[in-house]
Amino acid sequence: MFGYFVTLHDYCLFMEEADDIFLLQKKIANNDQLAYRQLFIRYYDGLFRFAIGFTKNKELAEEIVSDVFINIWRRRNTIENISNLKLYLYVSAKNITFNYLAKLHRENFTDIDAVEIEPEAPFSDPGEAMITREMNSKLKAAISQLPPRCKLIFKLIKEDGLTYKQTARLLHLSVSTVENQLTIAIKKIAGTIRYSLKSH
Amino acid sequence: MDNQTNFSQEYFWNLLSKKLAGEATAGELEAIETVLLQNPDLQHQADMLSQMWKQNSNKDLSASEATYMRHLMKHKEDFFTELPNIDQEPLHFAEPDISKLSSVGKFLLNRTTMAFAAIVIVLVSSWLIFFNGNKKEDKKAVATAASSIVTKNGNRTKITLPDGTQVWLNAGSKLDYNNLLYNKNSREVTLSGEAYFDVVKNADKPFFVHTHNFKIKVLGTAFDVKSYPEDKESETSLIRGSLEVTVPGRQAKFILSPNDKLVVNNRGNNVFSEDIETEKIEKPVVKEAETIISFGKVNYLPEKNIILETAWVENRLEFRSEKFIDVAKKMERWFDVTISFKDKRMENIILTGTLPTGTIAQALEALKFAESLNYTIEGNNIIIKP
Repeated sequence: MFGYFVTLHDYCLFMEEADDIFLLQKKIANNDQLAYRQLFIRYYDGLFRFAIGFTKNKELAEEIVSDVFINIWRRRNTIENISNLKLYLYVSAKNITFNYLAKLHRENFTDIDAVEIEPEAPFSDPGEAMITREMNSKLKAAISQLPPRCKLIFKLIKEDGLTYKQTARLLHLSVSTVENQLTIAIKKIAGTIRYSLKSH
Repeated sequence: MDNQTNFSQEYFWNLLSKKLAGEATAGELEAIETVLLQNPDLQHQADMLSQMWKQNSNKDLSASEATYMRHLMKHKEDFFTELPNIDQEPLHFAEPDISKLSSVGKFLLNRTTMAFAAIVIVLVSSWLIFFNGNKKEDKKAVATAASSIVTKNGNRTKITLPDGTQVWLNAGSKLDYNNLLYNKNSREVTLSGEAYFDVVKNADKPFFVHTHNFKIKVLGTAFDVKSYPEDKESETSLIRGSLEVTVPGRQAKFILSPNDKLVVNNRGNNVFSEDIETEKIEKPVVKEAETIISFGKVNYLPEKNIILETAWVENRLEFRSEKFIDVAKKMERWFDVTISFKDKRMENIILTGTLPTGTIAQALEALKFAESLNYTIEGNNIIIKP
């Protein structure tokens, strides 16, 4: 099933992402709904999983990401000026999330240490990568058990492909903090791999 | 382990992280290689991490597609503001009788002006409906005036019920509701045909759709119901929210989640009358024949980027591995024609594709080209021949 999707030109998995998003931006600015749709499909999931980490509520998270994208559409004539659309999407998602949560009188909603991120399974096809299912779930567990802030940063960089700088700006942290947090995550995962090896 | 090794290791993970994230300099990449040479036991972990990092996100793209659909529907005005050329059959509010329009009306319907005056047209159209003199020539009844909306074959329309719920009615369909009782304790409509509902959430007043052979209870969702009495099957497809479907004579209720589809076989003449208020089933007219129900997922067409069941809401006539006879039925409703086959065997030809929905001639030409068939048109009757 996944293989089928990979062959579709639509999803541009082989193009350089940075160039690609810039191309989409230009097209969307010219009212291209198909390009807009591509943007949505590509970034929806990452943004949704980011938002839901804060909202802890599916419907609200969907609403938030829908707001992010409708704003893009409504302002499409000016988006060519945005130098970093991907970061823009995430910052927008964060701001809208915080607005909603403030209105709902949630406490500590801006606290990234209270975020609940659910990571993806590390290997979607363990067989192909020649690892056991057991190893895959151990890895998933290891990632799950990372401290919230660390897990969030891991997700943004690994799953969503944000740079250190983008992540730092998004979360109002220093680049070195981001760097340290990712290192902690990588060490933890490596440790799990190493431990599993040893026990065989 | 001595301090040197510890320090290197810490540094190693830091560098490896940078490498994975695409942030490492050339010098740093070299340093990684150096450490690996000195510590080959780290190689396996490094490789695994690399592999893990390269894994493409296992996103469920069809779910995102459905979400995109919901996004479009939620903001329909933003995406469908350009009213199409009036030569094509557009999806819009009840169409005024053009000949009766004043010159102002005609000016507003002009294509160029339409692009600029989209919002005004919506308001003006509503106004024009009321001022349209000869109601008898109106092919479509108006939602605000009547409790019954009928679309003849060849027309589709969108209405808004008193509570804000929106209904897109496909060709050859009928929606009934009681103007006075609607939105009192509950919101009830009866549908014959096909409609796409976008229901306003109201937990206190559940929304019910009654059809020929099932009843649906909703609490704020978007879904499609297809229940033409003459069809073999009825189905409902859920795009957003959740639905509870009851089939008369069956104990179990079916709960649908997004992207689920329920198909009910219309076999046997299950004719029941239900007292809406008491929900009591009175007098089954015919003994119930077996109802076959199947549960599945909506059909997402990746190359067309749409969901098959609701393609018609976006004004496309799509079909997927369907018999020509079934496609012909869809065409009959869409274009308001009758289609017959000179050679009955042609009824079983399996078709997959999209038809242009401008005029019947365009659609037939497309079929002629694709399937090497011929046709003759006599008024509103089409005959398909080899």
